[in-house]
Amino acid sequence: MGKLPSTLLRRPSLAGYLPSTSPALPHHTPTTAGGLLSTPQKKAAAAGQVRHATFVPRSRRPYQFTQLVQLSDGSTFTVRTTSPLALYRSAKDSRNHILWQPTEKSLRNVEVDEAGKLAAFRERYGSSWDLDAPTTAAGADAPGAGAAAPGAGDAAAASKEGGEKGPAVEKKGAAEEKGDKKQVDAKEAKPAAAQEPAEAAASADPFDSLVDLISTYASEDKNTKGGLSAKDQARKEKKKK
Amino acid sequence: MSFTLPSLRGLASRFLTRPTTLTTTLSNPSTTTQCLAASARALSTTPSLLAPPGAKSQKGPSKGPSKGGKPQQGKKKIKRGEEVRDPKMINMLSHFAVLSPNRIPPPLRMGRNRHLRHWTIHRAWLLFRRREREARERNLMRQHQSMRSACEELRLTAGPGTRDEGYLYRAAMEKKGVYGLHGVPIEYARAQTETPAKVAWNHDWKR
Amino acid sequence: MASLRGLSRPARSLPLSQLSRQTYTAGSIRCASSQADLSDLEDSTLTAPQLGPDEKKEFRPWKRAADRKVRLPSGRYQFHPPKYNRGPLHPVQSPPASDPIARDFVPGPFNMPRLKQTYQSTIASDLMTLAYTHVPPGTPQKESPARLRGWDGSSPYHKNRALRGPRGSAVLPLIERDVTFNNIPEITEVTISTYVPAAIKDPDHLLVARSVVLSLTGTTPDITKTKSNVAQWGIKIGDRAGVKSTVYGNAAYEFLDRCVHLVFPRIKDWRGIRATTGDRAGNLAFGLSPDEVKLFPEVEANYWMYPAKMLPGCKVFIKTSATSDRQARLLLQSFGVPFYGDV
Repeated sequence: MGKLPSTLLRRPSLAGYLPSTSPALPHHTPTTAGGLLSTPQKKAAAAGQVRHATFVPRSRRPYQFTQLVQLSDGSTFTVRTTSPLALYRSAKDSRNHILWQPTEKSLRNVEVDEAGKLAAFRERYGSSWDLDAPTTAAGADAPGAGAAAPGAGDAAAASKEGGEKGPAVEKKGAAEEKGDKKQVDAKEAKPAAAQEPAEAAASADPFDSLVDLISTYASEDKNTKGGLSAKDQARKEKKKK
Repeated sequence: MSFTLPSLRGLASRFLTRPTTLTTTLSNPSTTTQCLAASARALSTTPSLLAPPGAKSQKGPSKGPSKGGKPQQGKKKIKRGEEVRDPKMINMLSHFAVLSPNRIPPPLRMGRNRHLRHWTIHRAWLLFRRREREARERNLMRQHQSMRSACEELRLTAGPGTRDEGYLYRAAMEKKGVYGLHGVPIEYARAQTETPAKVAWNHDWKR
Repeated sequence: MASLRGLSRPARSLPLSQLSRQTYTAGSIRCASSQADLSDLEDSTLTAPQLGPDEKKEFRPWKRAADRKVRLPSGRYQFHPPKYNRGPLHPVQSPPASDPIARDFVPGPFNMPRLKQTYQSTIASDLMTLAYTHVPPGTPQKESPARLRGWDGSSPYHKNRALRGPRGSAVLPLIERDVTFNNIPEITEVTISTYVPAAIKDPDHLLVARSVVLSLTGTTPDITKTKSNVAQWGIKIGDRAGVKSTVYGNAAYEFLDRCVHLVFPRIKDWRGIRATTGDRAGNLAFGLSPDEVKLFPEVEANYWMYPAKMLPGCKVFIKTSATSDRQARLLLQSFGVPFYGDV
């Protein structure tokens, strides 16, 4: 829109000889122009006022709708918007984003493994931790097997309580400073791990590979781009404590 | 009422048919409105009715404005399908045409009683807003003054145990990290909503 | 007539005399039952006592109208506001913008933005408490430093000459004021601007940018012109290669709300706004790339409308009434804008 057209009423002394359509005409002397003045202009000249007229624009507004916005947690509010949708449901917003909800446990960066497929994959093909250090893995497996040796029934009984702590104790050498985090994450992984039968615990510890993976997560370098990922946040909190 | 109907119908039909006439056929170039064509061809010197509506002066290399004067050439061009305007562009142009100053509806006109009614409601609304605002300001002032008196009390109090006078005040006035990046915790930014969430408050929440 | 309009169709076809008698009795009965409830209503003909025969003879409105010396303005008299404002002394003044017949009338607020509501109910007082600085009574008022330079008086023309500005820059930076109850920072306006140099070659880009900014802000955007000549970039002064739009008040709050709660969370790997932003006067800014503009619900709703390759990015300037950047940052943090980097 920029500059709005505005009509500038000219000085009464000039109004007589400057027609409004072509203001670029050469100037005449006022004496010759006196005869050209029509009566209303004469009156205006006699009044001797200078007035500026500013155009009052009609506002140019697009149509705006009242929209109901439903956030991901189910809360709603109305907004005025140009979008013609009556209801906007957001799947991702600040209510379920880790950056805005850093203390929300369910938004932490843990893998979703409800069917246990990832765990099964890792059980079958191993994890990157096994690749890195096969010798230490063998050494670490020995106490794991020893812990599981007392009996399958014992391991099944321990799967509730010991499932959280057992692997953490076994893998002390791998990352003992991650113990706190491991417990939290192992709690998340428990349903997947609980599906494993007891004989799996006897042959090879089912938490072994999973905890390995989680510990590699924790020991990986942080997201180079993103500022505050879930892990960083958790680590920072731990430092605070 | 009867004389406005044909014009409205004409307007509607023009709006409905414009995209098709512009993109497909060029049998009747005079159906385009001047404002649209003018905005599309900013640098063209030809009268808008004569020029092909889809022609853009910038697109054609070295032949744009000078050749546009002859309608036959324009027809040929369009028939060859070179200068077909994107229908999305035509859509947006027609939206802006609706917003053009020529199309803005005139100001409302109200009868005396209707105007008085509106005036009364408007005054009541202003009064309401003013009262709300003043109540808000008064509340803020009250809070500020009570903070001030509390701090003054602290300043003149000898601290707990053997602390000297004003210890608590100095401790309270320490504003470390207020203007830092985490001066306000991010969870604080929970804007109010009109209806609550499914889980209104997580009672297990801990910082 | 008003009572007639409210009746059902079969009732309207009844003869008028019969109808009025019925409604009158019904009204009187209702009145008798709940007199107190109807006392608030304005006088209705239904509750008025019926006219006697001589009163009816007296009641001749047509006679009064014929006898009137001065003609009343008709009920359908409609005032047309003037097209031009001709100054405060002109006899014809345009009505205030709040008047619905005014040319610049904009229909009133249709909702209360939730961010504004939150600000007024919680954020304002919390910010005041957070940034409270105690000034003990009796403290002498701080002298603001003389930042304008005087003239040395070496010339007689230096007398009464206006003071010189600071060295190095033409503008005086603002001095930060303490946050008190009448000085709490708030959002005043949000400006969205776009620079599309591709529009010099192809004006379609400008059209797309205009419609995107229009849908973002709900106002008709202005077209801006290039300010500088750069031959390598192919721009010269006066090219129409940009679009901007400013929203105030409620619209500004809603735009910020949409940004913070709907758009920012959907940006991949977003860390926040850089903390060093700001113009030292409490106005913060950030940029949005075309991919991020695409995430706005308005653009998303009819994304097919825009050619995908022409979608512009934009810069957003949030102007606050704060007098320093850190106060403005505090305000935006309380609105939920994350910041990163060095302060």
